Amino acid sequence: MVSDPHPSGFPSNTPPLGHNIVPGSIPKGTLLYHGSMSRGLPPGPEWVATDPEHSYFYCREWEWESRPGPFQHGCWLLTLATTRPLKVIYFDGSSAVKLPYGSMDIQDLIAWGGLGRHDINDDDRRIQDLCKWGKKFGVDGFVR
Amino acid sequence: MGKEIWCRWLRKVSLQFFRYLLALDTLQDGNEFVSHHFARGPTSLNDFSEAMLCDFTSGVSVVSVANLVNRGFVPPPIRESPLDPLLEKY
Repeated sequence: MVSDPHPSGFPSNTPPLGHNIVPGSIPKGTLLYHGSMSRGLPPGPEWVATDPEHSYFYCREWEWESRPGPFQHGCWLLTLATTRPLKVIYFDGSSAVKLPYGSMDIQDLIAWGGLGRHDINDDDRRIQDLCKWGKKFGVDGFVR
Repeated sequence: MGKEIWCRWLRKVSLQFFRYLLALDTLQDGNEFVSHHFARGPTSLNDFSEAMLCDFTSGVSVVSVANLVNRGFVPPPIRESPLDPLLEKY
């Protein structure tokens, strides 16, 4: 955790390879944003952004049309609010960045018990397996 | 001149001490660290900016649903990050 509270204002960019797994909570009433081509709530594990600009990008039509759940073409922005404190695990560093240089190592270690043998872009399977791991600990989600 | 050097040194020491205190506090209470960041409001590239939620039927409620295309929003094209050429060097 030592590298994160960096006074430069670029904590996760300065040391992009995080190594910390920090239990935390998202306070009740926090707004989260989900961009999607579907207007419904995701039927399973999915991503939300902490700022709307980030989520805009994901409303595009990906090659995910085979995903289950209500589907409607469009660029939908869902604004969500937490109704209770959410129990989360925080991965520090630039842990959402798809780079083959170790930025996702800690997540992969938890999800799959090893490093370097997985596709960095396989985020669907990553989130499924992380949630499967977190279920026994009552984890609502992950922050990265 | 002497005063300027002294001030610069004092600032440097203060910053280092501040960092030490923050790190100490964070090590003792990670929860507070994460909660503090969320409580600060919208984040940017400087902080974490996304969460993965496992179950949307519990713990969250929908505040609003907006069709951005109907409002004239056009999703930006996928493009390479300007950092990509730099990263290729490593």
